[in-house]
Amino acid sequence: MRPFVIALISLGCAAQEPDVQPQKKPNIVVLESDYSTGIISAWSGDFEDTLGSVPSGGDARLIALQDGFALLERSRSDAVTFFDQNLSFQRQIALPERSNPHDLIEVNNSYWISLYQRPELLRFSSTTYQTQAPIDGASWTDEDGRPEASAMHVSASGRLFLLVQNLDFTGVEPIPPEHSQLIEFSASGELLSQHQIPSNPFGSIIERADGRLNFACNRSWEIDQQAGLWQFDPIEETGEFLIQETRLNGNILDFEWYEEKIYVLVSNENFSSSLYQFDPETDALNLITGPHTQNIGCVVRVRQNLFVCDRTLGLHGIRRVDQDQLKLDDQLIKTRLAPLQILVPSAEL
Amino acid sequence: MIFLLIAASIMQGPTQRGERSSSSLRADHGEQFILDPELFDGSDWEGILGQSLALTVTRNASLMAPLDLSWRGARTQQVQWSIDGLPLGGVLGGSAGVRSIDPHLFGGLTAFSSSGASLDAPIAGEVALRTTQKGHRLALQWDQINRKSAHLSSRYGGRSLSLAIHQTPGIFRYLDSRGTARDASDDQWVRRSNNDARRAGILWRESFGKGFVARFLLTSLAGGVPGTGSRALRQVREEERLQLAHMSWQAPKGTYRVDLSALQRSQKLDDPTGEFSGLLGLQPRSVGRRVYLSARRKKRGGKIAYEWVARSFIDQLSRRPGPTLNPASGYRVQGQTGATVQLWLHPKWRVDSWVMLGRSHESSQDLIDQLPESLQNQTVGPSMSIWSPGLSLDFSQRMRLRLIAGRRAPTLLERIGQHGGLRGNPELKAERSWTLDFKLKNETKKWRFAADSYLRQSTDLIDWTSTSFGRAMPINRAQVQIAGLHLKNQLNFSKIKISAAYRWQGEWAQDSDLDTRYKRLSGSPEHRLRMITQWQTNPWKVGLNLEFKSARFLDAANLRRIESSPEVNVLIERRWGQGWSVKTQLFNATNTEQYRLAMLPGNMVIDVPRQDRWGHPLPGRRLQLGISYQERP
Repeated sequence: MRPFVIALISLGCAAQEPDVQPQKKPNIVVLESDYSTGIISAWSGDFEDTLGSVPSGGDARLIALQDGFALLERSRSDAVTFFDQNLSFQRQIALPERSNPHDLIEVNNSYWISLYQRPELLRFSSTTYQTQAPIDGASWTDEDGRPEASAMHVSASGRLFLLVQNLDFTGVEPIPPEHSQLIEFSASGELLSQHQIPSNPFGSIIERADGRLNFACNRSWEIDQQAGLWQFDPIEETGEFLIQETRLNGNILDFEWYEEKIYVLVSNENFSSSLYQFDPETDALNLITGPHTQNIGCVVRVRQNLFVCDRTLGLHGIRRVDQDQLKLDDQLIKTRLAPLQILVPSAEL
Repeated sequence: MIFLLIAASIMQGPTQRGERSSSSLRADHGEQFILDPELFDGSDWEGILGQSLALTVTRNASLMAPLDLSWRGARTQQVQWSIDGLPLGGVLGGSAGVRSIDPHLFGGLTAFSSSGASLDAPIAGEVALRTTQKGHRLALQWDQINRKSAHLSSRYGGRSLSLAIHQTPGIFRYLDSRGTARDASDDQWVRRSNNDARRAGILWRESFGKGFVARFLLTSLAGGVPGTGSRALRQVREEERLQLAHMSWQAPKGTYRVDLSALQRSQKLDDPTGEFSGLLGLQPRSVGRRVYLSARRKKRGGKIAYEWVARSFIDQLSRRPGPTLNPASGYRVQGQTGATVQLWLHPKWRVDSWVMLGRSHESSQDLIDQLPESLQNQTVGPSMSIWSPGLSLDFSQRMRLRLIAGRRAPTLLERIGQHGGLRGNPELKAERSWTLDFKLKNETKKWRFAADSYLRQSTDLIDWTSTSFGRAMPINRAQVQIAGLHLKNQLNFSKIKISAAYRWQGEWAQDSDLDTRYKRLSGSPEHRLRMITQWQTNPWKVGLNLEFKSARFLDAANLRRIESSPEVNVLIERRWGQGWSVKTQLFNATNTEQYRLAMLPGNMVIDVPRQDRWGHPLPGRRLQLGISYQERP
């Protein structure tokens, strides 16, 4: 009977995020998900207080906009939802069925949306939400008719970049191509260039101060010599691996720059995770040791701190990276569902 | 005088009234279900099993959807289905595979909650089907959405034959939110597509005398896999076939019994545009086979009776994920033995105690290698032990107290299945549970009352959960506690019969030992209430069924809470002569076509189509006409 008693007593004691619409602008938002359902939670300070939360789809991606947030939902539906800075609902737009939206950027007065499974970039007016002419993606789409277009980036120079995986889905498992592509556009939507990059780019694009672009290229689940963190100069058309998978012993899930060091989150061969600190100057690679590193899903810089999404089943939440001790804090910032993304609103940047 | 009667009873030992020689000692722990229920849509399992509030059936939108049910908080795969004692779990898909079997092929169904009839002690319970038929029967049914079914069963001496066919175009209207739940302005009423299904089955039972009985079952199911309402699948088609041959020999009075059987289940899924998986080459075909042998010894004598059973089976699964790949195979061997001892302490007090021990060994690496790389990790060994002890104290079949424990190894399907939207999980651990239940029953000529209360704790409960893109996968849920109360009351007057049933079920699920947020299991309402009134004066019968369900969650995280209106079903029946009747039934008489869905947090409430647990839309009001002939021998 003891478990029942414990369960009944504990019912009223469990710490919970407030189930209310945030009443003020958050300093941080977190997308939490078990891939079936999800929520967006709002936090003040550096995770000091919870301000409230709103529902989200389970398989979703949240993007910080100049005046709010966009939520791309796929899997059960294909839609984009816009929220203001307080996470108040503004507008929801249906996207083509099974288009699988992956990223959204703001370009002048438009929103551009990349689609994993349709050969086009959708565009909407950011003021009226009216549909604008899409950009035809036939030239960067592979034979299966799906481009596997993923992350987008607006560079400081005003040019736009789109990562295209070009995986082959004709078999029973996705097959990575020999090379994937980085597509370059002008702000007006003109195709400027199709750069060849290592196979299977994954995650987001980070631009360095000198205009070079960093993104992970994982090729396959195997540990590969031609996979790792790629640094690409779109002007010189040159690229190099900052660090290869063979040194990391796994695929890169996420990475973040902080004080000239790169924090790299890796999926190990046994599907656990590891977090590394890598100094490109000295080539020093340090493992963030200790407990809590086995189920990490993201690493994000929030002002003067680095945080990770700890997706450990039943013990999920946010943890701070202790950069001096090279370990994760024991203190867990509890979330309702396992965190998937941590975002700093644009106004806070 | 009373003293003499008791003394005589003790001297002679108790008698087992109405016991079949083939029955196990614990056969009276079960509850009989009617295979042709009134005021429920008895054309399929949902209506038949839905007679009991203890069972929550969360599929009834498509014949092609695997049967999904919850029984005292235990899930579909924890229910053992058996045909004349022959278990259908493992490669045969258990409750999921039962969709291809028409219920009307059988002569009876007994449900054993939290345990089984004999050797099996499944965590949820056993649904035991009997192949024996009584007399001749013919029934034809048609409904407003053009669902048609016919079944014929006939018995001559030791030979019985049943045929059943069921066909549905599955077209009805539903509200499509177009994937924009927050924006009702673009919602539209559309017609369900790719929801057609055809099912046919034949069961032949032949008694050869001297205790030899053979059974042959052939079934076929084919149709469209329609997907959810807002994300319909347009071209996914599936076929499933089941063949079973079962021979048993039994000594007089059932003292000895031997069963030998061979079964095969083949499945084929066509997904030409990769709607289900996104992968154009993933067109899985699989064949599961089972060879089964069991032996039983049963003996009654004075105040003690015992039963000993041993069984062994080999499950083999062969799977070809796509036309360009070679098939891979795996197998599982399982051996079990167990005994039940029944002791009469007094003519009215009886103690049943039983234990089952078993071990399974699996060779499935080739099948695991076929799974996506992200699912190939496995830390679970190839051999697992299973066990289940139980103890029952029974007073005159009016009161029963039971304590049951169980440990179940995941099936091959749960570990390495890969079929359409279902993905196995090689990381699954065996689940364990214990149950304490207490039943009271009182019956007079005019009044029947039953109260059933239960407590269950499950560790590493195997629960199917939906993942991205409409797929489902089994996971272990660290701790699940269940508490429930089920009350049934029935009053019989000369022309009127009134029955009411209520079920409360508390559920507290944790995803790890450290999880502090207790959740309800998905698809399971906390409160259910049903009231049935029937008025009968020959040749007419009129009935009304009202059912209320409290809100339930669609997801494991308890963030999507769905509320439904009460459902009303109406029956009008006219009988003729010696067994003919015409039945008109109106299901969902209030024409509920929408449910209210609260999206948490924030409690944003939206309209969604009336749907089952997996988001498959359900039809609105439906009129069903049926004509039947039943000859009682």
